[in-house]
Amino acid sequence: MKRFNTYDAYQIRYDGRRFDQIRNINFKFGLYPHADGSVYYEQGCTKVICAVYGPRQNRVRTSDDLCFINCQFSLSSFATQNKKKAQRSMEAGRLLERTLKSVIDRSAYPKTRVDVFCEIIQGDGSNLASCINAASLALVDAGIPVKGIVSAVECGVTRGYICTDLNNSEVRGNAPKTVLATLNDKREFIMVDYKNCLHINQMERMIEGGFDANEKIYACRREAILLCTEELRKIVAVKEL
Amino acid sequence: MENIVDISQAEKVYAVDGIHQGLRNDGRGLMDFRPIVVEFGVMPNTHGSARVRLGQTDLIAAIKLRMRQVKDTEDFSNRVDFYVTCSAVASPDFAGKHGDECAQRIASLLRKAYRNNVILPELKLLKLSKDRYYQTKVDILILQYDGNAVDAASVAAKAALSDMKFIIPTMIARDKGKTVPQMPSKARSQLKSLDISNVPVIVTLNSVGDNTFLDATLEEEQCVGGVLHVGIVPKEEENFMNETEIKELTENCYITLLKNTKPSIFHEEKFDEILTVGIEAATELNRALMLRIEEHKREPKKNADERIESFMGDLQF
Repeated sequence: MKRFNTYDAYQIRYDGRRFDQIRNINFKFGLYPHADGSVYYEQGCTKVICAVYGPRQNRVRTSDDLCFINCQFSLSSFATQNKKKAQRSMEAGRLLERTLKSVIDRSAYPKTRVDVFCEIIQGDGSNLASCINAASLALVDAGIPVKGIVSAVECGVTRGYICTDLNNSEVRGNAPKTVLATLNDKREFIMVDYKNCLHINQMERMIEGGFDANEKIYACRREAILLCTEELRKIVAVKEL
Repeated sequence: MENIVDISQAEKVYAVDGIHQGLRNDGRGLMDFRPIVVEFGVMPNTHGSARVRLGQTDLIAAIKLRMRQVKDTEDFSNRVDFYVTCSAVASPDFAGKHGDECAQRIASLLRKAYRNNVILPELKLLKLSKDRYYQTKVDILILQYDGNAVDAASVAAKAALSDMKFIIPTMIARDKGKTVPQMPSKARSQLKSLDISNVPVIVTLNSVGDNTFLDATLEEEQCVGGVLHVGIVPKEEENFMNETEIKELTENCYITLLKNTKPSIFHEEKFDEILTVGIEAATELNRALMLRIEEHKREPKKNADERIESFMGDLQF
């Protein structure tokens, strides 16, 4: 049964967004108070819970004096339609770790470790990108010094058009997808990961699209974080009175 | 589970002394549960789901039905499958494979309690035809661990089963005895759910010396001598109750799980007392849960546009 192709007809995607439109973002800090930092992050229908434990004592002796970062990325068994068991993806965990290594100020806490755990409870595409976003927010909640806020987005080519912030139906299949992560507002990426084959002509436009989407994601999260800190500052000021 | 929190000898002595006097750290009595919050339908992409918060212990249970094909469905009995995951979010000790051991323990207890034909008599409905059936899988994810995960898991499983909705497709016969499902045309009006009044509820009894108490927190779990899990199938109740009738009922219910997880010895006389206490507690817990389930069923149906405000909401302890 063929679906009506809204991409060509109306220039919108199946969920009603334009090609460069990102989904709604909601997040909540401090969900689990026993973790040093925790956040519940929603990007459209993709829901991620991220917890940060650290800096803690590191039992593994490392050669250098920097902080050791451990990431785990876990997809729960009821997250998507077809997964049978919970999966802990090693590859995604490594990517997350490398992204965070360049963001956390590692020399501030030598010989310690920071653990970042992400649990995807509902996956609707852009799983890795949502985890990176959630992890950077959890780091902010934990009070670990970071160079900035990371924004990540997953872009791909569906039905011949370059779309940002893919959802589940667009992620499946052999279409090329990239996950781009940028720091603060700059147009340089700190992590990029791509799957499947991509034509060289589309790469430029995909990266540009990724940067634009990241700017939007960063802007709305920054607003929300500033609002949260303002609230906290007011609470602290009232207490001191 | 034993490495999560280290408490000192002095703290253990303090907790045990308190229990001998009938007092607990947070002001509860020995037989009091922490406040339990049960929410339904938190995972819209599953057939049924529930989120249970027992004090600070936070669990999500989700049910998925998979249609499977076998040679003959008459040959085996349809059972509910359990799969428990301790998420690393709950504790850094659960990262990697370490959480699996604790999870296996909880899953095996639940499986044992559900392994009979009395609990879900309508499970036969899920046998669609001679060669196809719906396999019921209950996935439980532990997001925060503060003791007593087994009780919370049994409550979550029961709540999720009450929330489960499915459609029985009409089966069309093809050659060689195989059948093919066909969805009915008006799917939304044919949603069925199971009758969960007989689903078991598990209660964990902890014993320290001569005293037993319910619902241990994480710190209290480190000081107990013996742990006994009692799972009961609640009996039908009538609306009016007085003391003697309650006693009779507690003696007449089915026990589906009786397991001792910490190596300890129970004296024969004490054991009867402990068991009665456990059965009474489980019956009470079940009654409260059924009230909540009834309340949820009576709520006006949410339309599909409303957001599910489980995590974003303000209900925190």
